[in-house]
Amino acid sequence: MDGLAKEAFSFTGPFPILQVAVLLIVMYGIYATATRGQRDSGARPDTVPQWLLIAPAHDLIDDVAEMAEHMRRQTAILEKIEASLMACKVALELIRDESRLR
Amino acid sequence: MTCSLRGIVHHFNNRISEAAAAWIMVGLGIQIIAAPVPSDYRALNGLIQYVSGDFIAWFFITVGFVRITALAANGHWPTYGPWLRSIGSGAGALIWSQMFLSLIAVSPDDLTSLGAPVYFVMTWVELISIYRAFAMRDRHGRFG
Repeated sequence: MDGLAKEAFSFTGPFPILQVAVLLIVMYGIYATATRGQRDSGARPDTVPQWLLIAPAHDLIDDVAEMAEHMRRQTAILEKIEASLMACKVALELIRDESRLR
Repeated sequence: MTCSLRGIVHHFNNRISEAAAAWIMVGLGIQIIAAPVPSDYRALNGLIQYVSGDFIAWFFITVGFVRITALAANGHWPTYGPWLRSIGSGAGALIWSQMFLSLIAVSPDDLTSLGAPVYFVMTWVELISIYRAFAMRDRHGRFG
């Protein structure tokens, strides 16, 4: 193997081999950047990556949903209180009217 | 594009390095024609073993002008523009790397040219330009 390498170097010199090696490296670089560029061309920079939704953002979404549920219950309670107050108002008006009639 | 400094920067945006590389290519081609090979162009020693100096000069000028044309179109050729820019950058990367190799593959006593780091960096810039031409073509429209 060493003899073959020596023969090749003595025939061409080391420089063309270096040239071909650099040529191949750069061609691979061109191929890699071009394919990577093609692949990334559809990606949007402002798209939220999926992994971001796993931990803190996911917890936040749960918290917001829980807060919304609490708000819904509070609204229902407030509506009941409002209805009770209206009933009290009607009852007090009836009492007042009856007391006037006497 | 206006010819003001602001207009030029706005037109080329993040592709100013590509425009610079293209103009350098044209300039090198003109220099080689003005002072034909064999002059003392150590950076071309590796290439002139296979091709003539005139070929290198016209290669530089042709590729340079194609790149400048594609950049001047500035997104008006959404299909062909990125391909032309990528091919030009690929040709540039190949030739800059060979020129870099010609400068460094000599004995330390002959390392008198300061062009080696320039050609090395230009090779990387061209590879990044290829990526940018493909990756940004649908993203920023005219600014890709």
